[in-house]
Amino acid sequence: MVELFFLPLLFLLTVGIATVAVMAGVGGGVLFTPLMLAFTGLDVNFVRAAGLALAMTDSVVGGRRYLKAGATKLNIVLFGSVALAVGSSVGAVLGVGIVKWFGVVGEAIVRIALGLLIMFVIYVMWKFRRKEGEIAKSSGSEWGRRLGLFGIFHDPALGKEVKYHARNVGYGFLCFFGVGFIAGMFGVGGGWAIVPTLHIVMGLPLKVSVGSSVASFVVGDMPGFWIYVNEGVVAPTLLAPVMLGPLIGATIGSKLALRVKTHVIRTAVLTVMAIASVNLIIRGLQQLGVI
Amino acid sequence: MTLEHRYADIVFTIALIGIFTIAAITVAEALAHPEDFAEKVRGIFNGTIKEDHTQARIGVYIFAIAPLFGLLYVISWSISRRETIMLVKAVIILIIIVLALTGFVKVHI
Repeated sequence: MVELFFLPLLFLLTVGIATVAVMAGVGGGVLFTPLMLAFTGLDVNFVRAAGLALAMTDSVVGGRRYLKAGATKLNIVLFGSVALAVGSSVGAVLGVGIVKWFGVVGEAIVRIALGLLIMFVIYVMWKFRRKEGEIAKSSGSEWGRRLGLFGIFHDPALGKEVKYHARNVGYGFLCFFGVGFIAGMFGVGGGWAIVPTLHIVMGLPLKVSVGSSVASFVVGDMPGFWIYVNEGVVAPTLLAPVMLGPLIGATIGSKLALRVKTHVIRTAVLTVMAIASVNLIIRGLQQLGVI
Repeated sequence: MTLEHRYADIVFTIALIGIFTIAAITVAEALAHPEDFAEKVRGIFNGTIKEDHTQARIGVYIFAIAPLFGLLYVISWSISRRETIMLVKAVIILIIIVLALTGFVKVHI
């Protein structure tokens, strides 16, 4: 019976995920993919491709808002996109390959690895809590100047202009590559890692880091998504509700975010992610015949 | 309008066209062949279908190519911002390498 209402239910679920994700300050993909792989019988490749498409849609919608508000600069977005593109390509090739070469064992490996990854994401998100008004001290580097990773933006909360200049560009590139790899391999976004990378490692202000992170994924995840498309493991029927959801959910979420207590939503989201990660590991172990 | 504004608008518009194309074709298929569509959805839900051959794929291509149009626009518009051009070229070259390596050019064009 559920099958008949599957697509409308999926649409409502993605609207809900996008709404909650915006309020909790996480990407939709990091909730969607674990939930789908933990609690449904959908094909692993279909879910990962849909998760990647969801992260890209979030990026298209959210990135536009940040780019127009001047909260990020195209150079920073493109710098991140280069490393993300390389990482997502490698990750997608490996991700599709594991399932193709090892069959059910490959699917089990993906589920267990994703479960462990989500546990790590929860740890990072718990450890790194955003503080409004916090500005990173940045001395800037030569490569930051050469690539144009500097600028000024007007922070409405502080009511003044904030200057920034990126440092540790090489380390930042490596971190972006790693996040791209994870995105391509598992079909999850990587805002949970990109924001700390830009803010702590590269010394950019928090709001610029959030804006750059959101706007980077649409370009950075594109090569990885194309690999799923070329392998024929993208289900457009599944993508229709999954991609329409964020268009509505992100708008509702950004309006509700001002009225609700963010830490309550965030705790609820982390709890759901924890349940999903445990279930992913259990299902993976069941597929391997261990339990 | 800044370069960022124009880039964001182009990517958003083309991606939106892709998303609505997928949705429109999916709805059209569901209305035209309800039994076949229900069977397909059941297969996807149960994990028995591993490939989805539908005309809505054209929407996926449009959506996935949207950022490339944004990047090409940046190149054509901003001659003075050298470092931007360098980064855009790097991204485009990467994407072309990926598409070539994965056989897109051979299979689809």
